[in-house]
Amino acid sequence: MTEPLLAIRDVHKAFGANRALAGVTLDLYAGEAHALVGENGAGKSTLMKILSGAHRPDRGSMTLDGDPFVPRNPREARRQGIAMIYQELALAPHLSVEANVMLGQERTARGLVLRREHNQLVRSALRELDHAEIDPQTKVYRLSPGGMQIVEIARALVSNARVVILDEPTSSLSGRDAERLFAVLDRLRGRGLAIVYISHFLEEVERVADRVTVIRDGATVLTGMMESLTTHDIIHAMIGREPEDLFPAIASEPGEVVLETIELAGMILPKRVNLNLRRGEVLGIAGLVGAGRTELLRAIFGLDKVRSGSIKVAGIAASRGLPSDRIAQGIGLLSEDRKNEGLALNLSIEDNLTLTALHRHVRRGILNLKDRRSEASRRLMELNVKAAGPKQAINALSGGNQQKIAFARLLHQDADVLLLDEPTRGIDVGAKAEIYRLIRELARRGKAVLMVSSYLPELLGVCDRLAVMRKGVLGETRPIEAWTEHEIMSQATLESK
Amino acid sequence: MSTDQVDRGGGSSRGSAADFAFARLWSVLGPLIGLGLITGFFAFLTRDSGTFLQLATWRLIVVQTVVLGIAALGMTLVMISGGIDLAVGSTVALVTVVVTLAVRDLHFPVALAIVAGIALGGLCGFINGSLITLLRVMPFIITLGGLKIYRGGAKWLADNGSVYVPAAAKAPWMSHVLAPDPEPSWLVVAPGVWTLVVFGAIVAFLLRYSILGRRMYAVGSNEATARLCGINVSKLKVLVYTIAGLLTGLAGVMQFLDLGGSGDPTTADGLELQVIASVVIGGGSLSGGEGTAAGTLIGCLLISVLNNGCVHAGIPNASQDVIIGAIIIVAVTLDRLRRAREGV
Repeated sequence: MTEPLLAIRDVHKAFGANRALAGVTLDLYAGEAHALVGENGAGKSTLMKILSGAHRPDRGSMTLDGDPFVPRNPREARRQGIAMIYQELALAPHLSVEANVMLGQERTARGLVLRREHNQLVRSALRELDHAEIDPQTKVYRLSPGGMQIVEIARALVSNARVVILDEPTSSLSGRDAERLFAVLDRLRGRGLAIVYISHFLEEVERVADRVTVIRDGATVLTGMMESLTTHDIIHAMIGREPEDLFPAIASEPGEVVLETIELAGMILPKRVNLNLRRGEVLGIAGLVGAGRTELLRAIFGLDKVRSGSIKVAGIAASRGLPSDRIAQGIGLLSEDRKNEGLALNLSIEDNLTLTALHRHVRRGILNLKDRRSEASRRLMELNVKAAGPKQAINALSGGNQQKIAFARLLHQDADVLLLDEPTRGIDVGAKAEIYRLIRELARRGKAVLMVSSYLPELLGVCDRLAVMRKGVLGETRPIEAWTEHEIMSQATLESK
Repeated sequence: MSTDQVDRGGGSSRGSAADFAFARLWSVLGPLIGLGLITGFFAFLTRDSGTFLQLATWRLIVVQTVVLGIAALGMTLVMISGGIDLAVGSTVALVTVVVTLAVRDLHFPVALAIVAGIALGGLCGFINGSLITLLRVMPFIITLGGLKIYRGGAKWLADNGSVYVPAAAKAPWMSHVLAPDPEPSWLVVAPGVWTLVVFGAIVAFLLRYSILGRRMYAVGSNEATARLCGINVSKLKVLVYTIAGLLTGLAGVMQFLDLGGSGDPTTADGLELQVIASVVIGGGSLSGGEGTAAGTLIGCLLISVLNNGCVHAGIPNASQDVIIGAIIIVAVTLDRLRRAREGV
């Protein structure tokens, strides 16, 4: 093999007593797509920050094209050809595509911006990415999430980047946009760029990457060609143990129907949904992003308006309702968007955990803070949350622990019917396993769970029954044994027969 | 099954419980230290006359804090829940005019006129809150409109000049409320100051020990989360603006008394900015979810000390404004630095 374009050798980095990186080694070759996987907290983001110049390594070496590479700040990293595309896109929504691409790399003559050259550069970059349909003058906020990502990649192209690093690029994309993104990445690879692809979705990694590097606890534990490794090998390397117990086999006994929707329709989505949810079961809803699954949960919970149809809770008609009514009826919703909706990030754990059912800690009109704190502490122990204590701010926690707090709020509320929207999005495998166990455990205790997920293995591993939603229409509900991944995908994507 | 492998690297080491407790302590301690430094500074500047640290000076300073402080308590609630109220100064002016006219033209007893004044403040707040939630327009814009409308209303009612309560209608206690030397003397400070202290305690209690208070923080911190947790956000906002309006009404009444029982449509011009400054110095945030009653009151006291200290030290008015401006910037910058260190 030729010399690597970017070579990272035994890089160490500590923040105080906390060793974030303890020996990461990674070789990146021109023209390859290299997946970087690891649990949250394994050190991926620290490594990215070092590559982008936000942090400097304590020990170890990095070379770019054979020359020592130690960027002192993000500008320098970018100038040397490293382009970072973060999960949360760094675009100015009210500026045009062209202005966003050229931001910070304007071509000027005598202090004036060369508009025509900008336009040509942006057009040719978009053409090269096979997205010539994007008009450079469109305001970025009008684009789909997938289009926005293309703008970021176009920016990297115009800056003559040699290494493009993408952090969880599909987290906000629909299936089709994701496919187009993968095609774009193939093109970049063809042009001799090196791609670092960070993702939690191993299926995606298999689709995109030639090689994979797994890091755990800040060190490289596995590097290899994608085709010579199995999913099992990769998961095993990520979590350092056998993945068999990811989906616990906890049986539950289905009881009476607690939630029923009859021809329920939202303002746009969903369309005329009929479903029955029983105590002691987990009912899964699969489908593509944008199929209306989230809207269904929100309509049931009273967060979105209902156009027509009705809802019965425990056999009693309860069609119109605000979230507060639903909560009183024993329904709880776990939001798909933990950061923007699920949690108030700068409030404490105890504030977040108890917000729905604060009244439980009120004695004679006065909030009993001690009582609230001790209950919050108990919940933290129950869910094995890694936190300093109930007074800690939420934003100091990792994604998995944050999600456990959002879950703990439903438990604190004592919900009988749990509407879970992407309950394991953006959390690591260890925390996922705990959440699966918790969901099964809740079903065993007679709770009813309605779960939306885009991750088919977890739907198949956790649910008792499953239905597929496509363009707002919910298909037939069948026992989980009757489904395969292939069957689900074909129902989700194909026109109904 | 264990999660020992999880979260070792990035997340959980920042912000231990001890740090967090310290951060909360600091939110009140910080402004208090600032207050101490500024007091020390003026005591040093005026060390020759030695008047600044005398009881009489401080009795005056606290009296001068009453209007600002009561209005700022209301603003604290508004800002914690993520809003802002620019109409405070105009509402105060309107209340002074209406209370005066209620006594002069409608022959209300003073006490009843005062109740009406407080209610008027509540009504102004209710209108602000209702418009913000019904029209879904930013609070900044709605209350900017309110700022002009209430001020204009005051000018119109008072026919562009000051209005006075006739001497015969005045109650003897009116001049005592904000008298720096109170009667009886065991009160130590003016009854108006005690009013401020009592309302400060009520607001502090409300924020910490009531569901309503916790919900205000939640709405200010993240409205979507609040909605998800079953909070009727619109209702809560209207309620918050109304409570804040009642406090602003009370501040207006204090201003009416401070003006010797008269109404002035041009009074309290720009008060809202001083009020916002006090809340921010006291740890409140323009983006909501933060602030305490104690912090706000310390912020108010700090501004009063500055105003009074500058007079004692013979610093001209123009310089006072510059100093207050600089302190706001320093206070908020220090706060941001602290947050950055905590990784918030």
